[in-house]
Amino acid sequence: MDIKALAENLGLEEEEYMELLELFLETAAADLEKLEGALEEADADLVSSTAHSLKGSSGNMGFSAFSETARAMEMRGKEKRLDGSAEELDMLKAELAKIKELAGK
Amino acid sequence: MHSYPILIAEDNQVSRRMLQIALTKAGYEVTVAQDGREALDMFNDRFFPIVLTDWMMPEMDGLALCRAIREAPAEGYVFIILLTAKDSKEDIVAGLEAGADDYLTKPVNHAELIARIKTGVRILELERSLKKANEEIRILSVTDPLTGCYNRGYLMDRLPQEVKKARRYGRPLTLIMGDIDHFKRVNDTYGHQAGDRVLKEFATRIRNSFRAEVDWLARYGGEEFIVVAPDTHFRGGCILAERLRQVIEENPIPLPAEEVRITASFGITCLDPKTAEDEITAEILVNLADQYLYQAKEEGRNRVCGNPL
Repeated sequence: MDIKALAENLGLEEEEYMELLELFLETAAADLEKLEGALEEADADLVSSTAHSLKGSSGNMGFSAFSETARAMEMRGKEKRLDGSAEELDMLKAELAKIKELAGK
Repeated sequence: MHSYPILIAEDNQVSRRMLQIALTKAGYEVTVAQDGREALDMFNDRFFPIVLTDWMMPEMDGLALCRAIREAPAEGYVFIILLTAKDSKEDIVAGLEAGADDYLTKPVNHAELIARIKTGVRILELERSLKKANEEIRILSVTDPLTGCYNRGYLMDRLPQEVKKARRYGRPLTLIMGDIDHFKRVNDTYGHQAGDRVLKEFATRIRNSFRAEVDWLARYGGEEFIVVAPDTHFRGGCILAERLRQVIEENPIPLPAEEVRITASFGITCLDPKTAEDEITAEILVNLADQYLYQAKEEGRNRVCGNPL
């Protein structure tokens, strides 16, 4: 996985992709914090809607592992099930760290 | 730049910016909204022929936006593409039934997105050409093909409306019927092509002699024409008719071989709502103008005859 290939997949220039990546890192960090809070409060609806947003933006960016995990969280949040969500949150954090590295941050 | 601006409704910042970049790159003018409500407000301010909307959004979701756009009276067709993470048959049916024309599943492939937008543009272009053709047909249906002025069908449609308007606002309405004197002689002497040319010139000269955008001219039959002059009392109408008579008499019409001098007779009547009886219809006005025209012919042609009501 490298920036050039990810950008090409979307038909974008590298700098356009970088602009979106900045935006993604910013919103994803905020969403992960939100997720953490929602899990503490056991607010399944908020878990589901936040995971939905993360799924969408990461999927668009081409981060399929991140997107898959977020999707699983969204689905189970919809069913009001939060078991395993803490592990998934950790997975998302680890994925995000990898993406940051990729972005050279 | 394409002439079909696109409105994007998407709550996810990253997706929204990505769509904006992709479509701007493809040469489209793009406006973005962060949810359905904001998109609808923008749409009501300014018409967008293409709308690209996410399904799940706070405030107003994509389905509600589709329905709202379809219900509102718009200046043209709106091609709506729904973006959805859902891809079950039921969801797709619900989206299309809410009024979407097409859908794309997320994550959106940019090449596919542009291709779907192009499908929309083809449909919008088809609509544009249909509208243009309809407008041309509408104009043709009310126009006399030879002279370019209104035809008799239009006269009989619109004159009753003018009568109604005159009565409602208490304004006089003048009707002048004009007929080329000895027109048969023109045809017999110079041929029918020359006759057509004379009719055309006659109509053009009349039209150039009255108020543009207010008075109007219709071809009533063969060489008979009617000038309708709203907001014109009888005396004003007589001045106009006399001017028309002079214009025709004083300006010979050039034909390929030579010039031909013609004259015309005019019958004039005027409906003054203050004095005219209520039973006076458009048809009666036309008949009266016709009678005065006949009188003008009887009295020696090349003159104006008439009376107010």
